[in-house]
Amino acid sequence: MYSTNDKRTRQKTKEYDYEITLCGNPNVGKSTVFNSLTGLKQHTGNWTGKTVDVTYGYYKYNDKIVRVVDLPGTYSLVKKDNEEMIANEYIKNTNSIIVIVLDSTNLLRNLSLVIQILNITTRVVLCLNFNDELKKTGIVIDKDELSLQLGVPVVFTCAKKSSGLVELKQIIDDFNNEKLKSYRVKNLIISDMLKQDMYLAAIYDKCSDIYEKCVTKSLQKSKITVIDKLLCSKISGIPIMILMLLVLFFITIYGANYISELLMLFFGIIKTELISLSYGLRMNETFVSFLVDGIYTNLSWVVAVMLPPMAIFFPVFSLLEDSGLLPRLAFNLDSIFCKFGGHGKQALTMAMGFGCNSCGVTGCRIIESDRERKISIVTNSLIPCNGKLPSIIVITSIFFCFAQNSVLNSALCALIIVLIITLSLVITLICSLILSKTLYKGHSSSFVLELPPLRKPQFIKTIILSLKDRTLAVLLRAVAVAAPSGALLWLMTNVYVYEKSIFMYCSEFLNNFGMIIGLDGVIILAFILGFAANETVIPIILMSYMSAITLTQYETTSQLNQLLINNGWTSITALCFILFCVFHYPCSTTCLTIYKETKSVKTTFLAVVLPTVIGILLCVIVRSLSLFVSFS
Amino acid sequence: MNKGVVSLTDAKIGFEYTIVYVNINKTLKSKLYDLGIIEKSKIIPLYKSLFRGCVAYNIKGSVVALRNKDVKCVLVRES
Repeated sequence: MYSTNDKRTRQKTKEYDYEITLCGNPNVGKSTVFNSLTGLKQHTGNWTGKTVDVTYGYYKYNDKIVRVVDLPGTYSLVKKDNEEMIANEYIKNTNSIIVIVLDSTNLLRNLSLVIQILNITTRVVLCLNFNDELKKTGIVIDKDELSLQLGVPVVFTCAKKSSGLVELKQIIDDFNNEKLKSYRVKNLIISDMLKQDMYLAAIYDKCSDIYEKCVTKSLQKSKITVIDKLLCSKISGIPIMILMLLVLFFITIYGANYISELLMLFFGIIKTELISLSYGLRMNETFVSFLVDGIYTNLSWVVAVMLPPMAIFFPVFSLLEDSGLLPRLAFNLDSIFCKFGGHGKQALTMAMGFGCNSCGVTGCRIIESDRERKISIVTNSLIPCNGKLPSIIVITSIFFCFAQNSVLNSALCALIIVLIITLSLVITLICSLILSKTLYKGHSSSFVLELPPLRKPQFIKTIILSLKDRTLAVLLRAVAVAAPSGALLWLMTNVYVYEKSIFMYCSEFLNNFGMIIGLDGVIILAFILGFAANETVIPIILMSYMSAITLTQYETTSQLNQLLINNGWTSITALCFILFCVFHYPCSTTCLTIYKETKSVKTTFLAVVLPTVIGILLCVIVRSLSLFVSFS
Repeated sequence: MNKGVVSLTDAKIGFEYTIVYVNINKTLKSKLYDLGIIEKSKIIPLYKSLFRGCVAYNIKGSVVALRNKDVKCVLVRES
């Protein structure tokens, strides 16, 4: 759902005049600087390790094409970590101008990397980011003194507001034309013959020296806000997070109802117009019916049902992500994960999985220990991703929310969805425990996580980006896959072999299995076809049911409810559907990503089998219980 | 006032300490060094997480969460 690798490789081969490399500590806004420089839309987030790959982009300045390389964040060049190796190797072997992005509110710590890099190369420009926050914290950095002490040019920027970027480009250009020169400061040279701790201790001494000379007000007292205290408190931390999730879903469901109704109304008007237009053009009646009742109605249903929850959920979730809430979630949950054999950072990858399991799996790179990383990868698809969430929201709201009051109704619905997510969290924990005691045995690794300062999210930018990157992408994928699936369905329902259509054979064949787990053949078939993309499960189910009845009227959920009930759905079917929707094999993209990340068929196979088995088991339990209750 | 050396895990919330000795395995040590957890640095415990699993510290102006069992052998003195 984010910028794909293919795009990056394509970008890599473009011609350019010279190259700059962005590097710096994690979470100093490198990706934001990168986006502002290149105009690209790499996804940013307020947590360490959001960028896990090298990204390329281009910009033009003074008629020269400049290639920008964005390296993953690194604290030090001494380390041997997988991610940090990328940065190390690159800096050591490149000939490009290194632009070190620093968090100006946290200069002292950031300087360590600067000195390490200056010991390798002096083709360096410093970019002091978060200039705006500097003013709030009351720190004053003497830019010229800093430049003098380090021997390299220094620029203030606030990439978020795109300020200081022209100056940065100009300085880079001057640097490239050798109008500006850097020099090696003798005092900063540190022998690499020293032992690692001596080497770092020497660097820290120099950092403190420089810091004292260039910064007038020290920031030894951190900005502990009341909110931060509440979020990290052992008493209120987790309840607040649950409450936030509840509110998030409440807003989603409450708002989605209105948008859904409006969209239905809108599509209804268009439909009447389309029909009158086709009569005016004297088109063939069957053809009109095929176009309007078939394709148009199906597509408009997909849009009206799927779009509203996504249009609200993703932007709000992105805002939370942007504010720096997720690392605090990891901090709160680490003890629990640790007890269950996992790692606190698994909470981060799970939150990414909420967006897209494939991204979540890639995000697992932030977990250093191999066994804990594999546990996170295998259990990642137990968290409902954005392909599954809309289906869950739709089915929950039409089957389980009967309150008369619409506010109460949405609240009830949000509560149910939070319960479902809690269930998936509990199952993730149980699976992590089982995996850590069986397949991935070993000692738990260490947990070191930086909690970035809570930042006010960039409202408009985040909302637009997430609408474009997430909502629209998911919707387009749903529509794109729904179309060929629709064609396939049409063929299956219309090609007859021995008086029965292929569709009937398939759904009858699957029906027996479907009955065992409380579903039917059509739903199972939809899940099988949904392997391409989870978003299509509901559209496929609707299309197959609608091939029998044609929907003529546009009403909101009640008609959808009627359609499903007419096809034998009960609340047990709905419950089993939701459970199986949460717990089944990951989509094709995720499977491919898991294989790419682990290079192991066994792990990929496990990641497919584990959720499916859990889903089937849960459905069987629910169905058996319902049978038991109805008999007794 | 007691100014003896204690384990970082016993440090009181909100008080400033000076790191005296980092006695842990090499991999973790280099990770902590990167974050500025090194002898003579100042460190302030900020908040404890559920079940006392980890503690967030203020170190060189940024907030870092560390597990108690990882930093048992980091010795500090109240400053």
